Amino acid sequence: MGPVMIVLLGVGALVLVLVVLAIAVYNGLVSRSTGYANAFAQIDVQLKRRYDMIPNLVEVAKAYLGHERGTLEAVIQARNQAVSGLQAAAAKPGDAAAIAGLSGAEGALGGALGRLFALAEAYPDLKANTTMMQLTEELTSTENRIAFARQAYNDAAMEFNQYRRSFPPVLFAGLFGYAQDAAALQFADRAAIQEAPKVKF
Amino acid sequence: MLDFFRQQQEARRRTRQLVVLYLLAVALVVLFATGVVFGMMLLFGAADLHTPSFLTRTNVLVLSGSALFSAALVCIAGLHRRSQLRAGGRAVAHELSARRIEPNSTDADERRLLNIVEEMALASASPVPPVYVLDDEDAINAFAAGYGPSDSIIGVTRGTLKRLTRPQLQGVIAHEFSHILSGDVRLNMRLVAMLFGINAVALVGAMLIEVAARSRSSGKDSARGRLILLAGGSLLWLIGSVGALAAGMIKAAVSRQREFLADAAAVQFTRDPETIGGALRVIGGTIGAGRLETSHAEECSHMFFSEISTDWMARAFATHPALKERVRRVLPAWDGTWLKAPPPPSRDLDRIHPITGQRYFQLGAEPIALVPPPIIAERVALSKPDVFAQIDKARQMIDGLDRSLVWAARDAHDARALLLAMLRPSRSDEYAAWSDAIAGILGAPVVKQATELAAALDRSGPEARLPLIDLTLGPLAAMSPSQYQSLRQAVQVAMHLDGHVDSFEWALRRIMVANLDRRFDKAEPPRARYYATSGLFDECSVVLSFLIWIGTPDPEKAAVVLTAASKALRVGPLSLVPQNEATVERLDDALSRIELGTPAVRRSIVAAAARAVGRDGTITPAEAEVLRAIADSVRIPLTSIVAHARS
Repeated sequence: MGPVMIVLLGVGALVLVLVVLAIAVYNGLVSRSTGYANAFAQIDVQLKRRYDMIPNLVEVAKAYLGHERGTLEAVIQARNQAVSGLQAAAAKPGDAAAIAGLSGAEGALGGALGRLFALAEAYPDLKANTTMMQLTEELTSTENRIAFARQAYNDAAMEFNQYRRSFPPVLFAGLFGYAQDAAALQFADRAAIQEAPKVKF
Repeated sequence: MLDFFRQQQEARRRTRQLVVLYLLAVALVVLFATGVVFGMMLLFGAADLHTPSFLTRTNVLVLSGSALFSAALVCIAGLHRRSQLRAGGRAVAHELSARRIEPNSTDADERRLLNIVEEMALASASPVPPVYVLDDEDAINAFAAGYGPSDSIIGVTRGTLKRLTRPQLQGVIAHEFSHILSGDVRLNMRLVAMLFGINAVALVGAMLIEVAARSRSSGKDSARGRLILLAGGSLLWLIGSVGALAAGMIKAAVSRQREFLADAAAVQFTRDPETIGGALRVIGGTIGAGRLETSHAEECSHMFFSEISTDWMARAFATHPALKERVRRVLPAWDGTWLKAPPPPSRDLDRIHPITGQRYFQLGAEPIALVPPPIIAERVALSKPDVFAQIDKARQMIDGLDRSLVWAARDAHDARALLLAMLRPSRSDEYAAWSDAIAGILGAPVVKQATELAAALDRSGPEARLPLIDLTLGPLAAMSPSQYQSLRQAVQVAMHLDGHVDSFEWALRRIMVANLDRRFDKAEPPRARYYATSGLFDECSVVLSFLIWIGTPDPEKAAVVLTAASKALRVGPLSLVPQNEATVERLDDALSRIELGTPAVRRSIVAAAARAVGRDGTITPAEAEVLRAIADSVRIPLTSIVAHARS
């Protein structure tokens, strides 16, 4: 067996290994990206619930805070922004720009809601309103769910990113259209946003 | 219709024969490949036949080297494929890009499917599996994937979700449950892995041919070398291809037997041949009904409910029997017509009132107050023949449960609180320690929710606990591994708070760990070390004694029950472990060894445990919980005891 043969045999074996490896990596990437897409769906459900509640909340508040139009409109506007942010992010889960957009819109909504609740502090009647109390309670519990779903999503996104950057997959990821990391979704919870101004004093 | 037990026995017997045949084919391929590799070595001069004794050192070395090479090739390729396949049901669903249906979805079609899956799981005493949907597939098809009930998932196409009636959908889901419960998915994975290994032999052969053909070097020596490579490569390719062909045909034949088995089981589960028969007739009446678009489908073809491609290859390779044959087996009096346009699905059973969360059909009617005791355990233990005709009872059971508890169980976030609510200490002066422990690990909101749920649990009684635990297991699979670790830790801490682990606390943790550990940590089930029940004599004593002491405090009665159970196990008289020595620690120890038994050993022990529990004719919730925990821990679905007792 001449040396050329041996080299050719070696190359052949290498090609075989590479093909098997590439198939494995492709399946691994598809599987993990579906993983974080499914995890995002959980956030999606909870955020939608939250956005559905907000118009009701504003409606109730209007009766007491009719003259505080600006604050109420800011909440609605921020909510609508967040809805479209969510739509964009749900269409492309993990996409950095879409996730950043959602994150920003959520932050703005959290801020607007924070101002609304701060304002409500001065209106004991509003605070004592049963519907308002129910909605506030629902909103809080939904926020806990969002935080929980967000953690699951971020963990799944991190698993994808780690796999994508690990040794053999990093060679193929770009080839198969997985050149980008999945973006983690970060936004401060409303509680944290509300507390933020206090730090200034 | 009632000969489904005989049909199942027949399918099991045929499967065994085929599997032996399959192993034989694999062995033959390895043997022939060894011969070819050795022959090539011989021609290249590495080995030599013209020595006084054939068994010279070099020859033996080369021969064993060739054998090793062939076997290694088949094994490595097979193992690689297997490691991919055994990553669990979720990995398979994700590879098919399936969307997970939220277990608390209120979409009418999704709710209907989820309800059917929940009912089937509760009726067969298995955890509720996560449900996936292939949104881009309009065809009617479904699949189950996973290594065992604890890591399985069920997937359906959008067409299945929309185009079948409730009974038909029930038939399809029952069919898939049969695949999960009878271990078909596992069997198929092994066959696929071996097939992949055989294919690798053909692939290497093809490569050698390629190398020989492309070789540019000239000279007498290399011409000879080329010839040898060409001949050897062709032979390997031929052996691999013929082997793969034969093995593929056998695998397809096995697969077809399992399909008949699952169809028969669907009739058995639903007690109505029109369910599965109807679904098959709808598929037959729709052009290209089973066809799937996704490119991944081909390699998973064996998993699906019906043949996935319509361009019928040779019948020999079909993983599913012909539709006509399948319909005729479940509906012997079938007139040969297909169902064209399926009637619009009736959703009365599944519509829920948005506010009360009650099903519509129940509004106005008295809610069913009585929660039947965990159904399957009862049926198995009392060896009632109609074990599976329980789906309607399962539905009544779910409807009889407190709505807030059911909806909590259907949501990963709330299900954690529900499990911890079940572990709330009975004495109110211990509440504080319980809240602090949970708040420290999972946060204060979980404590608040768990406290509310604990109140609802107190109103519901102990019968509600096991079905609720089953309902949580599917939704909890959506957590991330780190979230699961926190929950596991919280459960561990909460159950030890009062310094004493009672049988329910023990069972809850066991069931959770047995069913969720395998979803998050893909550890291979341990290899079997005990091949006979006699090697597990003391362990059997501990397990059976523990169960018996739950049922009766009377030592004399306990001794009688144990004697009867030992007879069933055929291990000689077991010794009754005194009540104060039958602790959960010893039970844990015993189970960790029983887990290392062969499936037959484990099954016989679980069967004996079921018999011990059912001997007095009644089953308390505590007995059912511990029996279920034992069965799940040693990976024996309770339904399989009944199925095997009959075959």
